[in-house]
Amino acid sequence: MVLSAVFFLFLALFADASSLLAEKEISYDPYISILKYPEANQPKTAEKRNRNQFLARILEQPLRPIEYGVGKTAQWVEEKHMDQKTIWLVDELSLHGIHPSLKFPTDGSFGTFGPEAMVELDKLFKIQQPYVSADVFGGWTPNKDFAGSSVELGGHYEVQLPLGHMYHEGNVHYSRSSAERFYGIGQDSSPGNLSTYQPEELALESKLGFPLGQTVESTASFIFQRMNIGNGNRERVGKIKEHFPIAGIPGINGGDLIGLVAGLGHDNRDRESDPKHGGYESLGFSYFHGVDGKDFHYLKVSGEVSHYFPIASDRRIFAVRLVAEKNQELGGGQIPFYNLSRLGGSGRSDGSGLLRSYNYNRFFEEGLALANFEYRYNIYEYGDFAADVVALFDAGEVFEEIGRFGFDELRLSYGGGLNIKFRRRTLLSVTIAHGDEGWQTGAQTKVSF
Amino acid sequence: MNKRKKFKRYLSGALSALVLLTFVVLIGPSRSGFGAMPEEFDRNIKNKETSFYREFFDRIFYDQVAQFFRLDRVKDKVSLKKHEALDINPFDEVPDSGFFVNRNARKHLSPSELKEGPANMKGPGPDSKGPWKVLKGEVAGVSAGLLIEDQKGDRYFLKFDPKDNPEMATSAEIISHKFFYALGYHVPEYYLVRFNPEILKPDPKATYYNKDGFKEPLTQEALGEILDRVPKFKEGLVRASAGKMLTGVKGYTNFDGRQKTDPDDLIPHEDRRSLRALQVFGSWLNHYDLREGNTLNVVETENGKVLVKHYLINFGATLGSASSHPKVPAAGYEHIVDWFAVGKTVPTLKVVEKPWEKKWDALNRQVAYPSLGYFDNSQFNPNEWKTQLPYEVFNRLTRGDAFWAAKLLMSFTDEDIRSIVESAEFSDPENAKLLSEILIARRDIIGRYWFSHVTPLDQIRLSEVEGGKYQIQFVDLAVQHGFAKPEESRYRYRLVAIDPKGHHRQLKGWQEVDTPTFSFELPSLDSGNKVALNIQAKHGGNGVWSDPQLKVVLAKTTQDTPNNIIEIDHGI
Repeated sequence: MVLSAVFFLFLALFADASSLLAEKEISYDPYISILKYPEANQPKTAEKRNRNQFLARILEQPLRPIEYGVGKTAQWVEEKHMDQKTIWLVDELSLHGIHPSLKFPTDGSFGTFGPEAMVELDKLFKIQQPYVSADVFGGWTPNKDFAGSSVELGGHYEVQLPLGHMYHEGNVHYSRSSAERFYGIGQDSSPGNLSTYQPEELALESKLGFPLGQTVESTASFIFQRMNIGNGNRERVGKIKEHFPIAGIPGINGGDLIGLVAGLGHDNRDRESDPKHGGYESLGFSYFHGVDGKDFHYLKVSGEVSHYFPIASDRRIFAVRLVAEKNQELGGGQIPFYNLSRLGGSGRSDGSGLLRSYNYNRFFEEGLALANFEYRYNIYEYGDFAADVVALFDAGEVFEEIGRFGFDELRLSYGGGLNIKFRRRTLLSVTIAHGDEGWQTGAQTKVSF
Repeated sequence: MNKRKKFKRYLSGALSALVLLTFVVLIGPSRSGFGAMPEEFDRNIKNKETSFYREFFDRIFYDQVAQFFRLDRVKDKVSLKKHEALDINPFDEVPDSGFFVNRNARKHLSPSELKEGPANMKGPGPDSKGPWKVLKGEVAGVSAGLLIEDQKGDRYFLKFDPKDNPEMATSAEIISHKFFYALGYHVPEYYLVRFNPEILKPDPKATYYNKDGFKEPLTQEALGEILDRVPKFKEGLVRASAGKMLTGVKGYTNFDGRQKTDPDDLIPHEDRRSLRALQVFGSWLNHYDLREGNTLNVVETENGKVLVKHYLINFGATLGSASSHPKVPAAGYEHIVDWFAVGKTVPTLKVVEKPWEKKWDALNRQVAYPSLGYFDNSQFNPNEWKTQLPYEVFNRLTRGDAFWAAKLLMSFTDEDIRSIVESAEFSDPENAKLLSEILIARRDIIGRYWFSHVTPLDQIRLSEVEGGKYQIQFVDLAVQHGFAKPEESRYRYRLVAIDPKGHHRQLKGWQEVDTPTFSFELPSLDSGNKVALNIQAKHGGNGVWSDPQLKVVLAKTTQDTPNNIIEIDHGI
């Protein structure tokens, strides 16, 4: 009994020092080729799993042909090097001075666009000299809601003069649109007064340019403009000459004009297609006179300031643009309505100013004041591709006399947008904005300003 | 009335067609030839093809929409269900298969074996004395490639470095393929070659795709133009990685589902640990181009059995290289189009910069080492590292899968890593040194991370000690690799009985020990009963007990034998 107790005591003492005990390791092969769940590796289980998966994904089946079609096309593009061939084609065209692009109608809208191209003649005909360059351009697009179309044709040449960096430029520009919006003149024009007109314009310009350094340039131009105005052909919309009294709208039958323009510009943007710092400022003085017996006689003064402020990083840009314009009749003359200051729309062209929750050409008047603010911030960047989201705010007003400008009269737009870029070239810019006349969308292939 | 009848007839016809189609789709796969002869087997395996653009569309656009129509996936996402891997054995290891072979895990490879990689006992690759017959060429962007045949008739695909980044892509390929081989993947043989361009002799029928994507005859002159794009070294020598062409290639490996025409391929690939773990290995070697297009199925005969081996190929876009240029700053941090990352940024107005942006800015947006590309460990988070294209198989990585991968990865010593990096033969030894340091540090970051997300105990040994007691010994990998101090590490265990129906009953509450070994007494078990030993570890004074618990299941295989370990589970 005592001996047993001693034996167990002996064992107990060794329990905590078990390494001293005689051990017998029970070995196993950790890499054994038996699966933990052998039934998972049975043909019947695999087939059952496939059947269950097919049933669980029955709703997906209608999408499969899309995947197959697009996927196969993508594969074909890669296998046949179609991407490289396309880049080659674009490069080749560019090398020959041909630059194709997309043309959007003035009423920017998704899915409505047409072809546009510019051809540099000196490159096309391989004329290698630094003194003269010339190009022609043309474009066509269906208008919004396919209400006819817009056409644009033109040409331009530039001659470097032997005096310093002075140059001479000549421009010919023809455009025609089957339907452009017109709501009447003045800040109080009503959206209910929508009518359309058909502008057909021929403009000739002869310009002298005087660069005053790397970023400053002054210009002086002589301009001839011939404008024909017809009724717009948009269905279910009033026609300008039927909707408005002809006597109340100066220039409703078009007319010929000559003008002298002097301008001064400063541009130190780092890149025009995607500015992140620097800015652009311009000031213009113009004098116009009717030449076909029409009583057109007026002055135009315009100014623009754009600036881009990176906020601690070039991935966050605060962009500001201020525009002011005033047309002033001279000697009891008139200003044709199509050359008045215009406001509304989402495209930055030489037409209607950026007030993005309003339709293009929403407001016509002698003067305008406009402020555009954008906060652009990067949401995506992978190699050469990038995308910025834009928070936008526009405030603008048209007025007859500067003294009648009032902050309480400002029309506001706010909204957002997306700029998709490749190597800092804006491929697509889309916006959606809201104001007191509802929502408007816009699309273009360049940054808004 | 007639119209209604007609409509009904059409409807019933359409329904019959749908039922028939469903029947064909469901029954069709079962007709694959199990137990086929080699030739038949080879014929039956479908030779599928894919491309980067197709995968880009499928993964970035199609899957993102289709996932809402896949009710099985919707259910998993709603219920946060995790799927345990199905290709594991009872000891939480991945047995050898056509997907994976335990190499460094089973036996630590010697430095010379590591340096040899898949070329071990095969080599030595193409003889750089030449002549090499050039069969095909390709120019993509700023990089170039040539298909050659050496004097022995073996074919290799030569890949070169971009001119501005000498040694970058070739060293990435040489280093990473050796690591993936040592880890256990099937990879082709890649050789680092330096040769005089004059040994290249274009075959009269040879063609190449020029930089503009047009197929042209590969003349000596065209060859010269191709080689003008690659960096030249001393005495005009050209450096390339020569990948030996595989024979018996049958398409690529899906990362989702299985290849129904392969009778051995019965486990869905997204449930294969060996494929899920590529996410961890990829994060180590920065292999952001892990995708289906960089795999190959190869029909081989091994020990008299015909089987499909799943190869990983193309490692030129690993480490800091993206093959034709250094990696872009977002690589590894975001997918090529990362909808989630984009969606997260929009409402924040980008008040805060992303981690990879901070890192890129801190480096003044410059790649410091052209031969290494863009690769360091700053802002590296093993759990957030991403491949270029998103795959469900990587999303399914469980903690158990990641632990297994991290354990394998940690099996490479500092010396092992240096040996493999040295085999890339950088002209500047500083590059090799720096790259080794990055890989060593990155290995430790990954090991530390994943070991802290499980109970990191391994090499579990069971001994029967006198008196009917058992002793368990294990290695705490966190301690072994220096992530935790032994004196600050504690363990606890408890015993749970498991009856044949799977019901659990606690036998003994938690017992704490401070060494990685302890003894315990097992109650006598009825036939079919098992005992689970649940073990947890705690590292550091204020640490918490590890989760999930390590489960070691003990049972008698026969009545007369002692209890043995029949299962080890690190959890999911």
